[in-house]
Amino acid sequence: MNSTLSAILISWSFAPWLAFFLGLTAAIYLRGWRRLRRRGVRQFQFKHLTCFYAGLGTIYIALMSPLDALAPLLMSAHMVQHLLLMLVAPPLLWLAAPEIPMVAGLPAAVRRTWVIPLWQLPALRRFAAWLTRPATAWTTAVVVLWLWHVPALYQWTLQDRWIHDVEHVSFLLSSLLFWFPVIRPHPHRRNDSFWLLLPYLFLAGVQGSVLSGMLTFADHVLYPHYEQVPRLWGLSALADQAIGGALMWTIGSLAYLIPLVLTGRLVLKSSSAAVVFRRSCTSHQSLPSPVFAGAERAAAAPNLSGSMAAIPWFEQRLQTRDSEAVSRGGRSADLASSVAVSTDGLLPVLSSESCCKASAPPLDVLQVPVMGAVLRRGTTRHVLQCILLAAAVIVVVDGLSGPQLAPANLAGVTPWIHWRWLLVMGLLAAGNLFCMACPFTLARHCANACLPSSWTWPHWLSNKGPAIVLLLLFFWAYELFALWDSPWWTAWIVVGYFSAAVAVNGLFRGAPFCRYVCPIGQFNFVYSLVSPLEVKVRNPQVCQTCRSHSCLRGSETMPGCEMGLFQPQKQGNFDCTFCLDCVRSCAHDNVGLIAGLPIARLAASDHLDGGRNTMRTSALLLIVVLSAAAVLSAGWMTGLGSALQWQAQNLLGEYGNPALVTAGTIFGLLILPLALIFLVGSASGAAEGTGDWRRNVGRYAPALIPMGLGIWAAHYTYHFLAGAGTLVAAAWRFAGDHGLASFASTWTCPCCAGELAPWMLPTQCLLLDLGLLASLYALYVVSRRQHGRSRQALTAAAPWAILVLALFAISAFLLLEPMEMRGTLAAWPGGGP
Amino acid sequence: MKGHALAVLCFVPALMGTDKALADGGTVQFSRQVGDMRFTVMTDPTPLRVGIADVSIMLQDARSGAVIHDGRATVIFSHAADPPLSMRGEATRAAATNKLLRAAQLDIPRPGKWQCEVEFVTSEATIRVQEVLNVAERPDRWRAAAPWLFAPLVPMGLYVVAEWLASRRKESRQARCRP
Repeated sequence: MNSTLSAILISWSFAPWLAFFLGLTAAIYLRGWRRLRRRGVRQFQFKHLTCFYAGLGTIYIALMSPLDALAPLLMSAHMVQHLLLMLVAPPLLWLAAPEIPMVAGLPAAVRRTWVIPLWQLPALRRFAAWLTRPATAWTTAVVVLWLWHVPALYQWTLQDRWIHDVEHVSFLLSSLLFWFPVIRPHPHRRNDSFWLLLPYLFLAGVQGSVLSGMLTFADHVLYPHYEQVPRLWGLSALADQAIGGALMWTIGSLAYLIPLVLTGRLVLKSSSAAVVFRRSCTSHQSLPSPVFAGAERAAAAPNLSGSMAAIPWFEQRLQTRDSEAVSRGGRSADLASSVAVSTDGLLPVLSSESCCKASAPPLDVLQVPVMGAVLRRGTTRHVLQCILLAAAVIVVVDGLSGPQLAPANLAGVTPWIHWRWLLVMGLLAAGNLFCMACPFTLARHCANACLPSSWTWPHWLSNKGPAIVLLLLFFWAYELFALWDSPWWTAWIVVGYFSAAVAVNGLFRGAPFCRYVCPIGQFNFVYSLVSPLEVKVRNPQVCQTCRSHSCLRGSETMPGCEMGLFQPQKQGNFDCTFCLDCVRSCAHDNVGLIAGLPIARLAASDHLDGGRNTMRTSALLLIVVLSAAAVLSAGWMTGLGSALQWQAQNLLGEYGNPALVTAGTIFGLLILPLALIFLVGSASGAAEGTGDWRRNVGRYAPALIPMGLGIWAAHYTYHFLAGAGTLVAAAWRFAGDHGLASFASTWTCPCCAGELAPWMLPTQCLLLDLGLLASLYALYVVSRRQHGRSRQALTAAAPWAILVLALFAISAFLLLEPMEMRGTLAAWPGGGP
Repeated sequence: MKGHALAVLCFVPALMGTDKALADGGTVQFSRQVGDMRFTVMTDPTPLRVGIADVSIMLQDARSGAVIHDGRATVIFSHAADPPLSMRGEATRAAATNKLLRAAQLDIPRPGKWQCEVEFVTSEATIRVQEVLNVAERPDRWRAAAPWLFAPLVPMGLYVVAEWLASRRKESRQARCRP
């Protein structure tokens, strides 16, 4: 095979958004088609499925096959691409009668929230009816076709990919409109004469011929782009243009001629009474409900029965159905029952009453085969803990004995780049996975076994205060001592953590370390409130009859909840370590790991303290501090933060930086956030008419959690994407240092070698966007719960919404500032280790 | 909420895929014939800007127009700055979507006039063609991020519509229930 041709044939591109869209559409249609078939709706046969997939396949070929690669080089290839989008894909899609299968294939929630209410909007139905009128559809398609062939616009599409995409989308949509009156897919009825199709198609063919004639017989190249690009096979740009025009002429003419002939035959062979379904119609009736469509067709069907052999198969399909309806009872008295039979399965899809019934039970991960069994086993947690313990030991060893160069040391990269990101992503994707596999808990258990653990944790410390103080200390030390840059300090922090876990739990009963001391745990507890998985009871009624309370107290063989959470009263994941002891100890096997929409849970009351109110204030303070820390820690690593630190150093000498960091921590994490919360709570309370800012803060502050998590996720994603490769280099060096592998001298630092991936910024922005949307939604739900769908609900939530928007804006500003790649910037000594 | 969440999630992959590197040629920067060979160099984005640039080369037999696939092509960008800057990358078919081309991705660090040189090495000879290209400033990061930062307005708008639809349904239901 010619090498040029073989190169063309392998030039398939891949556009993720298009593949996703086509795949999703195909899946929805298939789901709906199968549902309808299962309900006995025989109108949707295999040929419909085939047509639909052929239509989607045509779009795929037009936009991702070598045609797309050739389009910038050959005008004729570009023309074929457009012809596929305009003349092949749309008729195939309409022949599949896609509307009802697509609606039936959508999730019930989408149908309930969007499709049915929109379907019931008279204005929208009127607009759709106007749009699908033959005159409108014809004009739109022709205008779009001619407009994009204006040289300036055509040239623009070849220079700008966005405009090129817009061109393709507009071709596809306008052609879908054009072919709609021709095919009139089920359940739409033909409310105009078949005669109308003759001029409709004929005139379309004429205007297409004019355009293609202009392209074919032009004496100069109309689109200069094709004069500049390299020519293939010695084909001049003018000849290529003529071929493109000829292709448009022939294929276009055929595409209009075939339905024209079929329609002509239909018109000639059927009586006028059979062809005209309705002589006059009002515009709003052209998108009928299936009930009416069936009834009217059934009435018209007797006149159609004689023309079965002459009509196109797609019309035959409709008539077959109508004939069936009539054969079940032609009299008007029987129409209702015949329609009910013929539309069996369609009404349930579109009627709001029937499709909004009980939804499927939520997913319980513990009941998923294999995964559920593995998670239920206590040994699974021990294995995970041992793995993380081994990782912690390696980090400590390398941090204390390895080179004190952060990017080359496992203690310099693993905790600050990889672990933090994995922790946040675990919270976003599942739940509090780190606490589940926490190695410090292992040390805690050892301490409980070896030491007396007889004291009671002081009552005045039984809140989140100790953890908040430790968090503040950590954020302060992180900036002041550049912990990310010091493997030695990092190792000692890990050692200190283990020591604290052993000491606290060795002396005090219960699990005070996890509950009141551990800063990482508190971070996880707060942000797992928006995780999709929650440890909760499956059936609350079972708990009403339970007298053992083994989820809390434990059973003979299994411990209960160390955190003191009583499952029937527990709401959300706050204070839950995902240890799953309650799952194993429940005598009724009534505790599961249930999937759900986390934002809805935020609106629930009392979710911050597992049903107890003793910790509520400190828990709210924790949320506020963590939200502020999300912004401040990102701010310190920008050029702005660095400039401030330099200026402080210049101004105050060696005391400048400590003074700035200390002041920044106190002001940025405590004073400013608390002042803002007070102001916002007061404003919102006043809008509610109560003026009670404390209660208002208690109700609305949890809505800051998604925004905070979005900021943390965007921040850590930056570090991870910028420095993920450091793990390989550091692990390789560690292995080499300990005689486990020969260390190649050519290794260089894989991080920060060049520009970050172009999708980094969109990814970060999307994480912020998701946080913003979730926070605003939570605010609105909380307010609506209090005030209903009223203006007061909006005014009460408005101050908090402004605060969330401010957090979003500040985070976006920081995101767009030049960032320091902390812990990954240093080069290897001597150009390589 | 489930319906809204599904609607929002559907947007995410669609948005993610839009910032693709096409490596399909882009704008023709120059075309030279050297002996029996024709070199055509194309760049993307248009206009060529600071940041990651896709440089595509098409090598053809000047007489037949057949695409040449053998030999090694290297793209060298150099800037007469102080100190002089230079970067190079091998243009390969693997990196190109359109396999008629060879593509290389270069990270251009500064705007101005850059000399673009294509070095083509075969077992018989080494051929070089060069041209001066203008590289524009990096687009403002705010402008680049604006579509992503304002993306929440779409689901927010949809939510407002859904709320409005829900209130309409509620009103019509209440109207039906009235005697």
